[in-house]
Amino acid sequence: MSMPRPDHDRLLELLADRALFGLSTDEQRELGGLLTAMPDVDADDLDRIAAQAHLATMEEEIDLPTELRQKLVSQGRGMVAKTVRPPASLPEQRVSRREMFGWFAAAAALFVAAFFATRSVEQIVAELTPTELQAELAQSKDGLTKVAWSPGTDEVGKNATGEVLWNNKRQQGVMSFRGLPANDPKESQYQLWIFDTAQDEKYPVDGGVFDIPAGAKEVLIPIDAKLPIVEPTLFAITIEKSGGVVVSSRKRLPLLAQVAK
Amino acid sequence: MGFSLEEASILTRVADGDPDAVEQCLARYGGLVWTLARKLSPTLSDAEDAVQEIFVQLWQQAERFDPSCGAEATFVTMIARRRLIDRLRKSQRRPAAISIDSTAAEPATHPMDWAQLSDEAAYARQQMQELKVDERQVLTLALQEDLTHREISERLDMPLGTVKSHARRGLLRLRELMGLKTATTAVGEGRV
Repeated sequence: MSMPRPDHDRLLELLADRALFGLSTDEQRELGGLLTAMPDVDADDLDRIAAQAHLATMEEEIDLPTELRQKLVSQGRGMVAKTVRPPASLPEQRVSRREMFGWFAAAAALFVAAFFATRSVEQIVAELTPTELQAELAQSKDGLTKVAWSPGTDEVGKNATGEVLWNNKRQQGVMSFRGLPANDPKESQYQLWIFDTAQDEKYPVDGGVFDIPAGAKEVLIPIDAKLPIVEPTLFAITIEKSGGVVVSSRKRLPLLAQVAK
Repeated sequence: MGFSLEEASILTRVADGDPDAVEQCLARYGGLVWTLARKLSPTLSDAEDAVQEIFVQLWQQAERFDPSCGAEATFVTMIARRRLIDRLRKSQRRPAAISIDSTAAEPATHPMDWAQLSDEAAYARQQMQELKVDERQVLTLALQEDLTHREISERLDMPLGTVKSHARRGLLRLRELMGLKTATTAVGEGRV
């Protein structure tokens, strides 16, 4: 019995829709199946055309804000330099820099892919409640970091307790707070920063903004790390304007959780 | 049609581990990515997050850039669009999204420098004029104004299915006009 021929027209439809409008989770699955069945198809082709056409329709561009640019330069320099550092045990000249990069790039790409895949799974498929996430992380054995909050320099955190659970392998975490005062989200929000060995200390990774509702005894907040974390060294909570900031002035620093070395 | 060696060199240098190339990459493409992010993000902070994600992906996947497939600006735009569209779809499922903070200080804007960014894009602009009016109209609304199928249907008072057809046919026609013959075409011609 012959296998049915995969639907090529449907594949083109999905690739065109993805390039212009994006796909639903079901459509992404369908596209994945069709691409697997037709491995010779250049899956990027129509995305490239859409990109060229988009560039063609752009009349003007907005300058990247200076603060964000500085942060990206710092992050990028560290990331690029770390990515290609050759191991000392390899003899010089035997492996070209470019060949060497392949290994590191593949590893780094896998890390990033795993990071974003984890986020996608978390965001699209099975949105665990913070309580479920906390329970899962607490039971995880591999890659788990558990640190208690200690007061920072701002009075707001003086009576607060709780802890950070972070699983580096899963790139997921959850924070618990008791006694941290409620905030008015229109005025200010709490923001988590994750200090990482891979990042300049001036530019810790943004772990997401969050609110503490009035009257809550204990609040659980999932961590929303904006970049892959290599090795966390410190978790810090700051109070920022509504929506959070790209780089914190660290003027208001109510809580810290130092990871033991 | 082509692109200069200098244009192709930034991501190659990033892939080769040259930290200085990071700064040049941001100087050349920071405004482009930020402009796309501002347009395709529900909030300012969402745009900031998106730009970080996009550049992390660019640093990590710079090796994937293949000059024979297109210009560097096209690769950057493709990576940026994919992530932004993906984020936008997710945020649209979340009603908490608020509009961009209009009180934030807005950095300077300036006209796109076609010659510097990509002559491919300039060529695409020219070729778009060759599309049928309906196809060009739908593509322009989708790309320039970032409208969804449904929004375009309402704007043009056109059935949803027709909008989808024009969008798909327009993009495929543009690919032909751009002279890109790919494996996708080969499959369509029954060679696989």
